[in-house]
Amino acid sequence: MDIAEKVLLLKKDYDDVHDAGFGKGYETGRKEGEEYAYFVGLENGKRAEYDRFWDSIQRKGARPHYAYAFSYSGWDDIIFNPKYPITPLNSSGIMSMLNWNQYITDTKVPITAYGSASSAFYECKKLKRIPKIIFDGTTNLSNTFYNCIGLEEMYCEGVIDINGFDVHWSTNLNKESLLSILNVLADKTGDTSGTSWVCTLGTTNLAKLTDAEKAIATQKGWSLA
Amino acid sequence: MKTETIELRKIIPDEGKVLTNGEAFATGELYLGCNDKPENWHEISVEEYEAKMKEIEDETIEG
Repeated sequence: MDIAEKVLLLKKDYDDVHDAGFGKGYETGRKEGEEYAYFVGLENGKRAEYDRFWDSIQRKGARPHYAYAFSYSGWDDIIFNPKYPITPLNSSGIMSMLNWNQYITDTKVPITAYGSASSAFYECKKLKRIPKIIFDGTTNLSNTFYNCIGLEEMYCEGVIDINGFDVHWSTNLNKESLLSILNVLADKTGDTSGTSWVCTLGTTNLAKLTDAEKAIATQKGWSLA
Repeated sequence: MKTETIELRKIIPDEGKVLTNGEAFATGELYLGCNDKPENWHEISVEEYEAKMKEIEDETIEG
């Protein structure tokens, strides 16, 4: 074999390796590209569907009220994933919002208890966590947490300025949650109406608090039951 | 160092009794708010308390 033949053979080897590599690379790249595009498309589709669903349910965050919105069956932790904070605009507020819901464990988004919060979480035995509840213009706290026996965490903001707050069913509430409740009770020291202001935590929850912590409420004019 | 005095007034119901002011209930010790008065509270029996709770539950279900 002369030099010219050897060069030709080397070039052929090179071309074969190059072609094989190019082909393999192309195939791999195309496959990865297709997979990427598929997953991007899938995620975009899911997101668009989620947006459309919750934009409709929550009227792009401007839903007037959430009365009975997620009550009874049909709403669980997978489906219940609000896009916007729950901020009702009219007096029906969050009345019976999760009434008798036995599936949701976490309310996930901030909730403003504006207007009526009557029976908002009535018989929500599976509910464990309310990450943020803001009391702002709350007009009714009747049975809001009735029989919420699983509630462990509930972090309160705003001001509770009406009677009826009662979480004695929720004996597993942690101390931070209890303190957050005491801290949002309105200052009633100057109240001369004769009203007996009462916050009902229940015997088990009261036992978690020191005297100084209980005094946060009593010094603001609230009796602790 | 500082000294703090915490004043807590409490009402302790008798055995088998529940305290109420007509709206709220205390099955154990009640810690009085600074403006609240013991005379705003009275005792009822556990049976009366349970009946009242049942009444509230029924009202809510019907309502």
